[in-house]
Amino acid sequence: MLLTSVIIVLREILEAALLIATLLAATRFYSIGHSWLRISISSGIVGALIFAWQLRTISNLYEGLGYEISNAALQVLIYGVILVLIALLLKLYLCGTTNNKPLVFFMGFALCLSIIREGSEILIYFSGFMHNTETLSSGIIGSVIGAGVGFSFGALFYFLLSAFHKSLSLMVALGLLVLVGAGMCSQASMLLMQADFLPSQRPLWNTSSWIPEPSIPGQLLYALIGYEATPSPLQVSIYAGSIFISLTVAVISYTFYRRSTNKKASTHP
Amino acid sequence: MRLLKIWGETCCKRSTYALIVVLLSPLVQAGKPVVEINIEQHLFVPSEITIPANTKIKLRVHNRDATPEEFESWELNREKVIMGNSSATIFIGPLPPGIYPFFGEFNPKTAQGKVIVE
Repeated sequence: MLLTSVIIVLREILEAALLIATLLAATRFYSIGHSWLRISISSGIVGALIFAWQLRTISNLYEGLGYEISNAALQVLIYGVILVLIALLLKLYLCGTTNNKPLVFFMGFALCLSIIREGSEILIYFSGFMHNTETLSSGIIGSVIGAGVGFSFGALFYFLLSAFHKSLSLMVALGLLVLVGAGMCSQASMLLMQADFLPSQRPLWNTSSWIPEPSIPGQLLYALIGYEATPSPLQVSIYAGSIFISLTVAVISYTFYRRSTNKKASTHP
Repeated sequence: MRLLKIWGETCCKRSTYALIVVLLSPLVQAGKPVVEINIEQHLFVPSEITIPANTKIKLRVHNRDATPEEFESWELNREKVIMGNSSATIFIGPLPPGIYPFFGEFNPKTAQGKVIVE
């Protein structure tokens, strides 16, 4: 029970912890403040509670495929928010801190969605042992250890990213957001295959003997870049396609904000 | 310009077909072989199921316990939370012959099973 709780909570918390670390590292040179974290985490927990509470109803939707549809929708939405974040982080870097409200809102929104997705699973797991006095204490202790390890990974990751200077830190953060976004799309496609909305195919490769998915490196890579040991050709195509879209957004945003900064500089010498 | 028009029409037709496929997929699903598994006392019953190779099947998992369970398989690339006293549908395959383990993530010590593809 103890080990199961550690693994489940760690797996679910890792993604949110790494996302927080990436966003904090990318914005640490600007006076953004941390109040968005508080609001985002609390609204994420409320959202997770509602999602977990309604999961039975959601799962029964569309001939019992509501679970896949709702989770895939959440993941695609997170990807959409990441695209906006890529543009806004480049704006922050090139134009400075003139109006940070949209950036703060979308950072909070991304984290909130991530907490809803992962947190609801933790809450559903909790609901299974909350009424059993035999397993309650080991379940809680395991969950606290799992959460501690997850947030420690996040803190370590933040300090690792903080070692870079301003532009490199932004580049690494943007690169990670691109890969996290691609991972979201890949996971969403897998859920749609599970629901038979997309065709299932034989794996394109199998790296499970090198990096098994349940291992700690496998789970870290899963949270960071959406690692799958046996992805199908369609999943790989969707992953690559989403990276291409994110990079296009980054290039367009960079060109646009660079031009507007240059224009401002020439009109106000 | 003409080439562009033809390409545009082809893409439009393809996306229409894709949309039709997605919309009709629940009807297509109706014809797939159905395999039923129960979760009882945090155990999969039966714990082994045998399915034909290269065939997509509709797996119906009935959670007879009051507590939730998560059906998970690294080998099948499948994961789904199934609430207590409820059922879930998971499509698996088409698969090449082999053994594909699955487990209940919330009770991994007891809830273990295998899909044997022959």
